[in-house]
Amino acid sequence: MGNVRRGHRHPGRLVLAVGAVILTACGSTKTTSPLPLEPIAYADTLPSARPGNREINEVKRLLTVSVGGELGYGLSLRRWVGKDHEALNITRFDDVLNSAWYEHRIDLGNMTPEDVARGPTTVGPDTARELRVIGGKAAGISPGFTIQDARGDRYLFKFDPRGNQHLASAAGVIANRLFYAAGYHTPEDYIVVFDSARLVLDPSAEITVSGVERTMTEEDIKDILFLTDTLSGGRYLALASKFVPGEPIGPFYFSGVRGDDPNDYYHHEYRRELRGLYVVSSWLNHVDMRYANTLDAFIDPPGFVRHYLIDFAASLGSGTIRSHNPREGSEYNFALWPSLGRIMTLGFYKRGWEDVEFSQYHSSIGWFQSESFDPGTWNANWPNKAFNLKTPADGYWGAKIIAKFSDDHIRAAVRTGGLPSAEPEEILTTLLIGRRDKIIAYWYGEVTPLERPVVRVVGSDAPFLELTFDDLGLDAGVWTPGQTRYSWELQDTYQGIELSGDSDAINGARQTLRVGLDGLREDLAGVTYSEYTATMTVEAWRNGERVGRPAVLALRWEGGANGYSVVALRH
Amino acid sequence: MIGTPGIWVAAIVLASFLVPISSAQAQQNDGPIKPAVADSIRDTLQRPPAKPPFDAVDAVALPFKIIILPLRLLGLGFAELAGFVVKPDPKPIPIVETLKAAGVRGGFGTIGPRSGVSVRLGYEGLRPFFVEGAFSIRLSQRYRAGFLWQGSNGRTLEAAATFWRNAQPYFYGIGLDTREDERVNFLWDQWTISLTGSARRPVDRAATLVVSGKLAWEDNSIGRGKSKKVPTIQDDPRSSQLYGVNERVKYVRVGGSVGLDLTYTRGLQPRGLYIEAGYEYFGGIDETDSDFGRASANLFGYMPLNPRQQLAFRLTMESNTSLGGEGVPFYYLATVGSEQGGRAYHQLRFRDQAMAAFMLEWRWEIWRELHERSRVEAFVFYDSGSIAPRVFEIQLKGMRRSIGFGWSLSTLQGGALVNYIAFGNEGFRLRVSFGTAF
Repeated sequence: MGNVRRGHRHPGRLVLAVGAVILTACGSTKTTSPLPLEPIAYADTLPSARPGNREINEVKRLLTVSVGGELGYGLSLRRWVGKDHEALNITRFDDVLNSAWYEHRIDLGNMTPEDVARGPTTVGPDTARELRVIGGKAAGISPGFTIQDARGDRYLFKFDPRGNQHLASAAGVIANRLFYAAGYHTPEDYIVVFDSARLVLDPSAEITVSGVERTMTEEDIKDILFLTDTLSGGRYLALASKFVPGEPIGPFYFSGVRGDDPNDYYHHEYRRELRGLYVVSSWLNHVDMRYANTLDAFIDPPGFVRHYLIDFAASLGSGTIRSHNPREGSEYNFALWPSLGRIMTLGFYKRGWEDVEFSQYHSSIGWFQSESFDPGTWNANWPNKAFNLKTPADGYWGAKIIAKFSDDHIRAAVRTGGLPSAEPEEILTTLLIGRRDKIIAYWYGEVTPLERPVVRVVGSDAPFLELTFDDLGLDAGVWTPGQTRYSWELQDTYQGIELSGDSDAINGARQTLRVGLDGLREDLAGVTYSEYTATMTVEAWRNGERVGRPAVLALRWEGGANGYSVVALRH
Repeated sequence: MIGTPGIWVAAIVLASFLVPISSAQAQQNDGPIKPAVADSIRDTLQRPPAKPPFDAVDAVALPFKIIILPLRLLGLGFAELAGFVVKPDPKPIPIVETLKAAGVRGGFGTIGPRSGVSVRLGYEGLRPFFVEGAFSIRLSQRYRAGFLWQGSNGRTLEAAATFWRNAQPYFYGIGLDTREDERVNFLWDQWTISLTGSARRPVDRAATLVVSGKLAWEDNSIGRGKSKKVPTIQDDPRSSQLYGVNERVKYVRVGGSVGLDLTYTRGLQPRGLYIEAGYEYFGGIDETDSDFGRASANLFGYMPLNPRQQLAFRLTMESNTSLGGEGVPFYYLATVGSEQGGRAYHQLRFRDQAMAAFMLEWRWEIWRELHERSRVEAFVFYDSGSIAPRVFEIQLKGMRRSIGFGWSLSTLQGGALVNYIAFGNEGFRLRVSFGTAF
């Protein structure tokens, strides 16, 4: 048992209180406190009328988030005083439930590397028979065309830039598998090699060239194929993205709600899975994570909107039509505040990425690094409110998912990219493992990574409360037990107990804290299942320093053999 | 993973718990849950709030939010204000598409001093032959027809006939001591038939020799200026007798220039030096009793500190020397003003036979487009320029100085848009122009 200070208030109590306030006002006059409400699984899949299509006005949207959004965020008083709101759609144990946005997959612990490699895919396009071209897109950053195969399935075929074979297609498919395993809804993406002789132009096919839609011609197909490299025998390599089930109704935004979708309840910037998406995006360097690469599809029957992430070609080292560069992932495309800094300093204000050398490990990978990757400062090319408002708890939630990807999971996903040889596959796998480990080390250090807490009261003459839990920071090997110490504080407003103390971490799978108790009441009158009676804050110290926010547990006095039970946990 | 059927089952299970009995009974005979019934289910759901409730921080922040509201609105409305908003699926204008397909090209630009913005329309359907016309908001006009051959290594040869009307350039008098508010304007019509050519020849890996030549016939006449704001030159006793005001002047022009290009571009940043010298002979023909020669020299330097910061400078000199008769017509005198050595001063502000100017800029990048096709630079500058009857009479004491700052948008195709404010002895000038000063 560690040291116990009865009635002593911890010097860092103000910091601890931030977490405690999440659960309750902790007023000393109250004997019990209400537990926070919980979200409901799949509540957003109740039938609804079809929402309208959302049209894209890209320039306006990007300028709005880059200028208006950044002004609002940069000048936010709430941010300055460190009172950012936590995510709202979280359970009492700081997690999200399955929904039209997200489904637990890798974190359930039963996905094999084969499952990760399979991802959302089924059979893939039938390239052995006729591939009917039913539409095309000549403009835009990545030209391609829409195919209907002999089974009647529709795919968008997109190509690597000439001279960079595999760059975008491999990145797109690998990221697709990893985002899916992480829990997000993604389309079925495939690497395909097809014979151009199988392409048959549908007479009704139309193509948009310079904003003008017209009937597509054989020349248009040739023009699009000219932009990529040819394989032997008139074959081509493409990324085939299957049309998602349901009816597309436009993208979703990372803030607000879709007003005409009654299932769209939580404002998106307060959704844990969208805030935590920052971490997954940073891992995969998906710098183009913005509304334009999302899609809402109306699934009818039963009639609800499922929210997809689409188009991952700007992930890893790929900038879709070129390699990424050191700036991407480090600074927004239009970075309001750095730009102002440069203006005011005659250009002498510099960001760290400006000193990073551009070098590629392999042309099929592009610029993708682990050494210069900073999980705390990474950013997408365009700001979004959900990412801006993320808190350490959101980052930790995302990091826990990333931590579930074993080396073998990652290796299996990388193999789906069809990279030209084992060498780039191994390089990419190593880089992803390195970035995963950095993410774990960073975000596990932003909170006290306490999980699976169990409490019980031991003894009757001199009872003490025993809390056992997993410290994910120790489990992941970020720190050792010798480097770790825990400070704790117990406040029981129901029984009038206020204790604090600290204890060393121990070797072993589970950590244990023991709190001496006296004067326990057996009277349970008035305590219901929607209430709790005590809070216990636990804060990890690594190498003698406080490294992150405390974990806050809500305890309910149950009486009987166990005494207390843990009814809520916040990080 | 729970797919669509699973979701469906989940919804029904959820409904069985939450739908009021009457609603559940109503559903028993009607099959799947209808959206209207689902609405009543949603109303009964007990879940966390959709967004955080208004709290003390919001209350404290409210006045700040009100204060920055105009700034945020400016930001939120920036797209519209800047005219950047593009409508999805823009509808093509049939006549524009037809004209494009036929080889008609249009654009905006400028066609001479104080011409303002002009609209240009050209026909390139019979390349290498061309015909084009341009008309400006200040009534200047330019019409050209001819032949343009463009070969490899920057070789060009152009034969063209041109009519150019510069409708209202200002004339402030000759010399440094003229007053800015004593200006007049005039109309300058010029007919030209010209043959010009240029070529670039690499000297080694870093240097390129640039040569150009010109042979032309021209006919100049001066009319009454179109500006209503200032007098026309014919009514100004100080200027009405200058050579060229009342005479129709015709020249044969022969000239050429040689340049050594030591510049290169890294990213979107020009680097290195460019030095150029030229001479042009103006020989009067028919009734014109005037011969003169014009010598000019330019030195451009772009010295990078790094890919985002650089010092750029330009040294320029021009000297017109009378070789007989009436000498140099007033409109061919050397000038200082605006991008010609004095950005705080009006274009053509100072005139005399010779000029010299030094322009210095500290340029730094503040934004670069993601795909590295364009960037925005800010710059601070210092200009110093002067005029005199002869080059060696130009004195540092008489230099007209300008300081200022601005920004420029440049693209892979070159300078695109410049906006600056300049301060000098005659006040300040705010200017938006196409193309950088150097």
